[in-house]
Amino acid sequence: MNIQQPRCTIIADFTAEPLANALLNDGLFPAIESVVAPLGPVQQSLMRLQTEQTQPKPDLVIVWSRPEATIPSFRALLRHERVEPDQLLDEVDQFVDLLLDAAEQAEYLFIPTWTIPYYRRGGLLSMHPEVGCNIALMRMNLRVAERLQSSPNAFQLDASRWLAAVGKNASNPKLWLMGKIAFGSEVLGEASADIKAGLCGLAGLSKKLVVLDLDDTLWGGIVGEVGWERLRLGGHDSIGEAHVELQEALKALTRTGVVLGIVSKNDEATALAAIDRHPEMVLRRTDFAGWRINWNDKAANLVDLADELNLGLDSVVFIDDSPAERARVREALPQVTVPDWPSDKLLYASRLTEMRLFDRGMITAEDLDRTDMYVADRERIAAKRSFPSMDEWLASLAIVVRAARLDETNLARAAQLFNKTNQLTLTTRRRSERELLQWSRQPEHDVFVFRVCDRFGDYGLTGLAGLEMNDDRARITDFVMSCRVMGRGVEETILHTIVARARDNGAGEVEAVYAPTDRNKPMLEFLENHSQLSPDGSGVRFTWDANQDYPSSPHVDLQIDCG
Amino acid sequence: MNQRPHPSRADVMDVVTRSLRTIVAGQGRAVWLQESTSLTGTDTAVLDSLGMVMALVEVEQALQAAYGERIVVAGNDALFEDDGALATVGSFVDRICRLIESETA
Repeated sequence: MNIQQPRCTIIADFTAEPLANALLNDGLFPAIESVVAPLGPVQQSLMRLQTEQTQPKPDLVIVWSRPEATIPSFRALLRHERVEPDQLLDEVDQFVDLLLDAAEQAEYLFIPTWTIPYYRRGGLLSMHPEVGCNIALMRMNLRVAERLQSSPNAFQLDASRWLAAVGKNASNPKLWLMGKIAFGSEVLGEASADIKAGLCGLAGLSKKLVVLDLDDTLWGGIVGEVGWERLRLGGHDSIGEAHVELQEALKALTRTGVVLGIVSKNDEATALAAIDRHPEMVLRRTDFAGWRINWNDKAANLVDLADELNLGLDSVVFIDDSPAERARVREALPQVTVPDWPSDKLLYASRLTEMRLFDRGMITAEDLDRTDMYVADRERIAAKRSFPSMDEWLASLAIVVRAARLDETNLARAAQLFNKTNQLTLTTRRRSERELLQWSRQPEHDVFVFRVCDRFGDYGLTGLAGLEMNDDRARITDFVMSCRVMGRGVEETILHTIVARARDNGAGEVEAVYAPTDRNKPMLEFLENHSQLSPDGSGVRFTWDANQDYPSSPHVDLQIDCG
Repeated sequence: MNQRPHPSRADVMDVVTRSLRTIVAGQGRAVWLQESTSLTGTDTAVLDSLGMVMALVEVEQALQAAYGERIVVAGNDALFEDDGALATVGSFVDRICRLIESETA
């Protein structure tokens, strides 16, 4: 998918041009150009999508239908007719079968949930297990969600949230009766924003690091003046509770793979004492991947911290209660996202959760452990100081690299690494999970994934390499690595593994062709200055005689879990 | 309970131009709106039929939010009245003012 210019098809049983307009013109990234399928039953358009098999596939297909037009039994329920629950769900299943077929014809499929039509209000019977429309709709949406689990590229979006956010003007009988427009423009605006956030998340553009100020941001008060004991945090105090609520929201983010950092003008020991000792702190020292607590310029500190964590500035969100500090960072570092932050502390947590910056299509085991990985990294760096040489330090780490073929068990994380890595990547190809797996299964292709651990902990799946055979030449199509394992012999181990594989496949030469972007210079630096591959003079092509072993790192224990 | 004031013609013009600007911007265009700007039915019209529906509803919602629920712009056959009332921005504003007058008479 080209996230700069995604191609979208909208299939709806209402006038969808206003949604297409919102996707193109709402000013949010990316501007999405859409083709709107002819107005009519969505089943017809879904079948047409299957028949026509448009090439190239659209990046996104949005299927937004009205339940009363899609599921006959639901329409009957609206008329207060008795409906067998099994019949209702059978019809939902038939519809989901079409959705799953459609998912094969697009890179991503988004399906807004069904919502109750405007002309049907609640009432005492709306949740009645036998005749209630609302309870039936909940079951129907749930059934769709459960069945879509089998498709890695189909996602249900919560349309009821859009309607609730807009309120009274979410729909209007006049829009429907005069123009077959099912939802008001504000609903479509909410939908467009969520669709774009989702698409950005799937393209690996979601934010990875939230950098926080401390005083009057993470807690109430100035710790250097009042001491940690008198901070406003928790307790029977609305402002104290608001800070706890923000911390809980941030803690929840860390469980989705986002890491936290601190940039604060404070005395470090005083601030860390508050983090360690205040009984109402939700976030503790181990919840932060790193910090810069000193009296230096915050923009400079932020650059330094992002560098330490090997994260690009465009993946950073900076939160500070001070408008002056926000303005300073915005001006100095335009790549960093600096949201306007409310002066009303009671709105802190809701401001964080309403930002559409952290969307993602999955949560991997690596996401859950990401902060722990950074904490382990801190310990590694601390241990490094006690060794006289780099070699001795590397040897002390007891690094183990496990190579395996790409398969369903490692696909989710592999695709995440593949699509989110911008720096240590040879070609910056982007592929969906399904595309990556399909590609790897072609006879002339091999894709290996690499898990790395050492005595301090597990880095997780942090390397991927793709190989394409062409007669007696093997081409490294993909060489992707997390920056967190850079410079520890893992790069050499990956090359060693794929050169051996190429030789087994009959290759006489292995080539790597570097595709430059504005972000992947570190890969060129490795190829030119640290690898033993031979440059051919073009500046981008590097080769290795496959009859020779590529030397592996002496500090790495390579374990191969595949043939 | 305080009765909300009735909008003046200038108030209605303000609501109409703001609503139209939102709708036209949503279609990726920017136009200079004035009394004589053609709304529908000509080559230079700023709205298609879908845009006209959205404009009627948007203006009605905005007027009702500001001045009360009794102002109905998009009622009954609003789209099909063949009296030229929807031809230009000015005639649209005049039509709304007439509706408000008849409502409050």
